Order: sequence, then C-alpha cells, then structure tokens
Amino acid sequence: MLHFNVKKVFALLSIILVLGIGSNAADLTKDPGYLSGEKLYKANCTTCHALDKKVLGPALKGITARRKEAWIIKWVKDNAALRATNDPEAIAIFNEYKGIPMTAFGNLTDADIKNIVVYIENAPIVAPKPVAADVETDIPPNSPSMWIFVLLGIFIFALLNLSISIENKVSKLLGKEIINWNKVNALMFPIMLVAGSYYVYAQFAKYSSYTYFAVGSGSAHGKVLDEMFFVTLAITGFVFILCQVLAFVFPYLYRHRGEGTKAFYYPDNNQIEFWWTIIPSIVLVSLLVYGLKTWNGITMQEKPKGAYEIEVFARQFDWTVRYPGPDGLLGKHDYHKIGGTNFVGMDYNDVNSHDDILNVGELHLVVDQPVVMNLRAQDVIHSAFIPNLRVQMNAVPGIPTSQIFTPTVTTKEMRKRLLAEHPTDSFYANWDYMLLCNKICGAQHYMMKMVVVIETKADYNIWLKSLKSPYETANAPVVVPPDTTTVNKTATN
Amino acid sequence: MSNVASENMHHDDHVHHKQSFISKYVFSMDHKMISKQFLVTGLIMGLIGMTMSVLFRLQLAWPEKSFPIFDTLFGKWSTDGHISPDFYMALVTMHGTIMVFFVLTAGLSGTFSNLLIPYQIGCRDMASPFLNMLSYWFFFLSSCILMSSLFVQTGPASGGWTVYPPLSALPKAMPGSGAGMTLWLVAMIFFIGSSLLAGINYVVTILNMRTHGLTMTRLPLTIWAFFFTAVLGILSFPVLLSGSLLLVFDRSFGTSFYLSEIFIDGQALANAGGSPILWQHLFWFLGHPEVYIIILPALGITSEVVATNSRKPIFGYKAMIGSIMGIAGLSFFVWGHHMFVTGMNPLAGSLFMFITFLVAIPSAVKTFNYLATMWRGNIKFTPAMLFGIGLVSLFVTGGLTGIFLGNAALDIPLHDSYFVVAHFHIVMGSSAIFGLLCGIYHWFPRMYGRMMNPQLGYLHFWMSLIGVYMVFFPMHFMGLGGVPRRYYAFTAWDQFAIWNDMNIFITYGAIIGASAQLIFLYNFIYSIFWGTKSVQNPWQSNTLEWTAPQEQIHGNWPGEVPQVYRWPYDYSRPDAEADFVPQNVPDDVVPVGWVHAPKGKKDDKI
Repeated sequence: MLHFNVKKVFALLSIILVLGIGSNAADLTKDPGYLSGEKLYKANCTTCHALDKKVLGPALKGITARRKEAWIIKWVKDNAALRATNDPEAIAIFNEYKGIPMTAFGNLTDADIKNIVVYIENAPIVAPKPVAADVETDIPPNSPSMWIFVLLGIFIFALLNLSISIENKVSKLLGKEIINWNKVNALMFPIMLVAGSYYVYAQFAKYSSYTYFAVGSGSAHGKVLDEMFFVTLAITGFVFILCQVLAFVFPYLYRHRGEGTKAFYYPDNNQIEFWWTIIPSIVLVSLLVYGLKTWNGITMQEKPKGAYEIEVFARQFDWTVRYPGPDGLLGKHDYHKIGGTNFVGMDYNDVNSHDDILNVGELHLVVDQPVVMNLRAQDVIHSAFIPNLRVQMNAVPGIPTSQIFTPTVTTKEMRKRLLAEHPTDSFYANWDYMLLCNKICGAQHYMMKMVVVIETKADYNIWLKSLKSPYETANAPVVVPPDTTTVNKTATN
Repeated sequence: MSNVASENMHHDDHVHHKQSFISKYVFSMDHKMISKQFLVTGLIMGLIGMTMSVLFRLQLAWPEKSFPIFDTLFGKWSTDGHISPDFYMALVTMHGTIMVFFVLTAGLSGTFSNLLIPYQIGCRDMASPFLNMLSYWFFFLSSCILMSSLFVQTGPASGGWTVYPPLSALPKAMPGSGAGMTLWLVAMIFFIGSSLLAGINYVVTILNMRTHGLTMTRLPLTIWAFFFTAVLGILSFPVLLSGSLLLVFDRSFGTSFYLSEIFIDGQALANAGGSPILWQHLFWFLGHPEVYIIILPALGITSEVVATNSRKPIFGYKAMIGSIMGIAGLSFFVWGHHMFVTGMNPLAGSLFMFITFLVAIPSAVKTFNYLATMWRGNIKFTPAMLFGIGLVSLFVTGGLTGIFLGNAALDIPLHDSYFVVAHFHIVMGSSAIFGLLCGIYHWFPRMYGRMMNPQLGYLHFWMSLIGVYMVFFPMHFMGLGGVPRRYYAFTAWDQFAIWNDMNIFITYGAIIGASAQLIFLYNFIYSIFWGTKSVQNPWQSNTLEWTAPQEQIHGNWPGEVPQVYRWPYDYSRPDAEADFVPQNVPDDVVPVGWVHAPKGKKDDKI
C-alpha cells in the first residue's frame, strides 16, 4: 500500500515538474497506469462488479482499505486456489455470495491488477444516466404514488361496474336491452382494424430504420439471408393482411341483426378446400426450397480457399479469441490444462499452440476474407451472436462447433452507413459490431459481450503483431528462431 | 364402440350418495369437481405467473429506477428497489414453467378435458375416476413443490424454462441451479405423472365410452382436439421424464449424461463423454409436441364456440379433423427446429426445417376454415365468441412469424432474439390463453349454473386484445434489431438504447393486459356466488353437455344417457325451424345429413 501511494505521488509530482503546470487529482487520469487500469477494468470487471454498488460481486470502491494488495492479486488470478489454501477471507466471501465462484483471471499480470486497483480507487463515480426522463411521471417510482395509481384503477373499475349493473337493471325493467351490445361489439371490430392498421404502420415507420436491415448485412451470406427475409415478409405480409382483414370485417358484416335471421347453411366445399390447401402448399414448398438452398450454402461448405481459422472461447462471463499466430494453425486444446495464463487450456505438447495468441473481449476480423470461427465453452453453453453479421452459433462444453462466414463491410464503413441512416445520432460515430452471448449462461449473461472489429488486412496484421502468445511470454528466455519452427510445422502438416 | 357397459354400470348407481365434504370437494372422483379443481388451481398459478411477468417487465422498462415493491415482495433478492440479476432470471424461468406446464397444460387441458369428455360423449364419468382424482392431486402436489422452490435459500430454478444443462446441472454455475433446480425437477416428475394418468384416462374414455350413435365422425371438434392432445402427452411426456431423471443423476449421483469437459471454479470436472445437446433433444422431443398439447385444446374449444355463435356448421369438419391429426402427427418430427444453431448436423437441420414447413399447411387450413365459418353467419358476440375471434387473429399473427423461424437459414439471425419471444407468446401463449378464457366464458354456466357478467367480459376481451398486441407486436422489431432475450437489462448496451422507449411501451401494454385479467378474476369469483342463474342451454348449442340438467348430479344424466343421431354442427339448417338441432334430436324430427352438400353428396351421413 505504501509502495502504491508513493507511486501515485511520484506520478503526480513528475507531471507537475515536467509540465510545470498546476495540478489536481484529475490529472491522474493521464497516468499510464491509471489509463491501462481503466481499460482492463472495463474489459474484465464490469460484467460482475460496479464501483459503488453490489452487482453479482461486491462494490469495489475502497477495496484497498478492506484487503491487502497481495491478497487481491492472488484472489483475482485464481480464487479457487486461494480458497484451497483455507484462506479465511476468501472462504468467507465465497460463502457470502452463495457459493458462486468468481472467474479466474489468469490473463492478468500482477502489474495489470495493480493498475486496475489504481483505477478503482481513483475513478470518479458516474451518476447513472437518466434513461427516458420524460416518462418519469407516468409510472410513479415510489410506493405511495404506485398505490394511488392502483386505487385509481379500482375506483374506475367500481364506477364501471356500477354503471353496468344499473344498465342491466334498467334493461330488465324495460324488458329490452337499452344498449345493443351485439352491435357495439360488432362495431368494435372494424374500429380495431383501422386502429390496428395505423398501429402496425406507425411501428414500421418508427422502428424499421433501427432494425439491422436498415444498413444491410456486414457479411456475404447475410445479404442472401436479408433477401430471403424480405421475400418471406412479402408473402406472409400479404397473408397477414388478408386474414386479419377478414377476421375483423366478417364479424361486423355477419353480426346477428335481430330475431328471425338465420345464417347461411354451408358446411363444406371440397373445391375451395382443395385450393386453399394446395396454394399454401405450393408457396410453402417454394419458400422451403429457397430456404434449404440458402441453409446448405451457409452450413454445408468446405473450408473456403484463403480462409483462416480462429477460436472463440467462452466462459462465464467473457469471450476470448485465440488466433493461430504466424504458423496459421491452432494448437490442440485440453480442458485439464486450463489455468494461469493458459486460461483457455491450450495443450503445449502440441507445438502448434506455442505461437497461439489470446485476446480477451475483442475480436478482429479481416474484411473480405472468409473466416472459420471455431467455438468452445469452458463451463456452460454460450452462444456467439453477431446480429449485424447475421452470425450465430452455440459454444457447447465438450462439443466443438464452428461457423464459416465472410465479413464484407469494415467497422468504419458500417459507421458511415449508420450515420447516413441516422445523421442526428452521434452515437453511431463510435458504433461497433458486437458479439453478444445469446444463450442464458448465468446471472451476468446480460453483460457478456465482445467488440468485433472488421478491418483491412494491413490493419489486422499490425494489430495482431502487437499481441504476444502466452507460451512465448512465459518461456521468453528460450529464444527459438520463429521462422524455422514455422517452416517445419507447415511442412509436416 | 358405444358404451352399453358404462350405461348399465352407472344406471342406478351413484345418484343418491350422501357425500362428505372431503369426498365431495377435496378427494372428489367426479369429473365435474375435478375439472373445477384443475381450473381454480390453474387460475391461481396463472395469476402468479402473470404477476411475475409484470414485475420483470417493470425491471426491463425502468432498469435504473427503484421499485420499493420489489423489496417488499422479494426480500433479500432485491436491494434498494432493484431485483438482482439472478432473481430476474428466476422470475423469467418460473413464469415460463408456470405458464407452459401449470396453466396451459394442466389448467387448460385438465379443466376442459375433464369437464367436456364425459359430458360431450354422453357417459357418466371418466373410465377411471380414481386415476382422474390421482391426476389432479399429483398436479396439486407438483404445484406446491414448484412454489416451495421460491423459498429456498439459493432461490428457484433460474436457467430458463428449458433448463439446459450444464447450467442447470452445476450448482456453481448459478445460484438457482442449487436446491431450486432439484425442486423444479421433482415438481416436473410429479407433473408428468399427473399428465400421463390424465392422458391415458382421456384416451380410454373417448375410445370406449361414447354413447349410442356417437361415432367418431360425430364427435365435437373439442373431443377430437382433447383426444389428440392426450395422445401427444402420452407419447412425449415420458421422454421428458427420462430426461429429467438423467439430469437428476447428473446433478446428484455424478453421472455424465449431459456433462463433458467442464472446467468450473478452478477445477476440471471428471465428467466425460456426455452431451449437453442430448438434453435439448430429449427436452424438445416433449417440448415441441407440448406446444401443440397447449394449442390443440384451445383450437378445439374455439371451433366449438365459433360454430355455435356464428350459428353455422363449422366449415370443413373433416378437414378440421384431418388438420388436427396432421398437426399432431407432424409435431413429433420437428423438435430440432429449436436447435438449428447448436451445431447440430446441418442435414438434420434441413430435415427438421422441411417437416416444420409442412405443419404450416394444416394450420393454414384451420385458419381458413374458421374464417369460412364466420362468413355469412349470424354472429352473436358472447364474450366466448370474442375470445374465439381473438384467437384466430393471434393464431394468424403468430403462425406467420413461424415461417421465418422455421426456416433454418433465417433462424440464424433470429434465434433467441425478441422475435422468437414475440412469435411464441402470440401463437401458443396468448392464443392458448384466449382459448382458455373462451372456454371458461362458454362453459361457466355448465360448471357453476350461473352466467358471468357479459359486459365485464367484453371489457376484458378488448383490453386483453389491446394488451397482447401492445406487448408482443413491437417485440418483432426489437428482435430484428438484434436484441437478445433473457437479458436482465440493456443499460450496458448503447446500441440497444433506442429500444428503451419501446420497452416502456411494452410494459404499459403488460399492465393493461394484466389489469384486464384482474377484471376477469373479479367477474369469475363474483359470478360463482352471485351471478344470474343460467338456463339449461344458454348458448343454444347442439352438444350433449347442454342436455344434462342444470343441477349437477353424479352420473350427469338422471335416467338414460341421451342417444346421438347427428353431428354436433347442425346450426341454421334450412329444413329445421329452430336455428339449432341438438345432437340428440332423432332422425325423424329433423333428417340427418347435410342438406346441400355440393356436387351431389347430399346423403353424406354425419
């Protein structure tokens, strides 16, 4: 702790000295440790923690007052191991949180964790954004006004009920209905049809541009899917309108109009039935053939030429991507080997894994180059869903799955398209493709996401070079010329 | 296969038994009482399930706002008026389980199969009244066990109503996968027991105990629907039973049916060779027929109600039976369409997609037949009829989105999004609820001898219809915006911020819909005790239940059971004076058969 404060003070002093300007606490935000801590905190911790309140795990502000730094480091890296040493603090917190373990962050170094702690203790607490403040008054947020709302409802209902019973009594006295309810209900149908049509139209008008179709798909197969979606929408839309109009117009047209009227006795007509069985069948079969062709095109393909493989690894509650490294080959894996910096369980007996690179929370893809996305999960079923790429595949423990697709629109290009669609919304200037977990995987399922960056080959290579493989980092002193191993491997494989 | 035996057996039996309170109201073996027991239990469960949905809708609409009511209701599961994420998942899971199994399977099928099978086929009671009683009490026990899981320390099951392992198998993966999950499985095992006992009873009764003259092709469509529902249940529930037992083994005895290569809490588990996907196959092998177990009785009830209140024969009676058979048969081979993105062999995906599309054909035929039944009718808008028409509208809306989701390729971007939520809530959730309500309004006079207040019924219907479309229609757009289901909040997702006001709108819809159901509950309870007394056949219907005396007696009919001469849809026959001809009206009063079937099929006997 002392070391820690000295470091902070030193950082501050150096800023003051070097820049020769007055300083306050905010300047800490320029400290590289703080900045790196912020980035790491946001990438790794916010799924389950907040600074000032309990989420799945405890609030983190003031953590240095509660725990020793060495303990924090041990806990973050592998809390199960810490608990195995019968550490009373560790066991107490494990039990307090209903025996749900914290994820082990073997990917974080001691320095990383120290930086995160710097960030936690110095970060400003941001007040939650007021979401939809304009409707604040509509539903009362606190109990008393909620009860007023409920009482009002009961009161209105009581009035209604009273008027209904008066109406019934008067009708009884007069010997006939004073309100022709059959007619009222019959009239309600066309009214609802008109209101409903407007409602459907308004929804389309307001929200169509926010569906993922508005800017098109970011992948090659997505374009085909979108086309098929619109064909299906046109056909079902026609049937929808036809059936709803009939279902709401017939009741009005053929309402009971008083005693003595009789319905048209019409129990059957084989010809009509033949046609309305055959026509839907033909339409459905055409859609089916169209769908099957598309489905086979997407799923039944061999690894395309020029494709590269990556592995997306899921655990509660983050995503990690494994890149094959210079050799272009992903090494074998074995879940028994999970631990420490090798938290995806690479099997180092397979030399192909030695140059494999891991990256948590960010997936980079090359535009216009097919990619084979292999999926693995450590604990429960997760699902990798990238809506704007029309990509979805489950990650199942014990069963490797994969999906092949070709991104065609870079992140930058997609931002441009989105801004063109929504010029007033500045959010789209920083928009990103997102990979989200779409199979319920635990309490923090709703926070499990990963940014997807689609970029040119050149950008991708620069980015990939900035990362180091965990094996090589761990075995840094043993310098093996990378070129010779690569050649051997590719030759033998 | 008529039922001379049952008639003789029951002839002078049972009618004058003096019954104690316990044997009359609690451990009753009378189908009418058991049906009321199912209905009341189902409605209580429905109320709980609906309340849960409103509460989690509040969370979804205003994730940042504090609702002290959560603290009051949920105690330690809520802090400062915010539900915890794991309890949100628990609410969603319990809502799904309660609605699918306890309300729409037991509540719907249990109530109306019990009430209508003996009445409409003209027999004194179920084939085995004892099994029938047992079926209810298994269901009751199951409900109690499920509800008790709300009070265990780690909370109720919270892995979604489909409880996919390994999440549901590993107590360390989620608090709700602890004791709550065990209780869920035990509750399901009793529930399945209940469902099987009931189903066997329904099938045996329908096949063996029909009255004189009631051939299979003279059965009301309700009975056809109940028959196939029961068959589906008998064939598919055992699969879930075995699946559940295997999950119990995995959870408690260290087997590896569903578990393989799992690393959790710093440990590599020894389980090897299992497959989480196996559970999905077993679950959906029940799960898909299950949605037809839910919707078929609702469609059966609607057929009856729409025909009666349109004062017209149901259009295409034989096509309707054929459609029910088609749907029931195909429903066994489509379960894989829930699993297109699990990494299942794409060829299997193609086959499931093919059969899924076939189901759309009988469904379309049914819809057109309902519309044709209303065409040139003489429609009387009883509350039941309104709900029947509402069901048709919902069935169309929800059914059509099935064509998107049944397409394996389109399912890739739509799977597990709000589009799916919209689809199934409309097509098998709301429309089956509409079927249930339709049935309650229609047969309330038969059950309780009184009428429900019709004006409150109209209000209930229009509010429900508005509520349902307010809640579920916008969800299609959310799904097409890539919004995933089962998310506790979207506060961390800037790209979904645009849907915030839609979430608020939906919650208002949910409140409107739920208030409507409270009006219904008031009407229901009030009418049981103080409703106006009904006449014997208030809707001027043709089926046999309305020939039984107002006062409910054990054995249903004093003296002989009525004999049947005709099909149940002789409404507005040109050659009859009244606009309805009950099934027990003999041939010489009004001739049997269609009067003007097209193309010279005049003498087609029904």
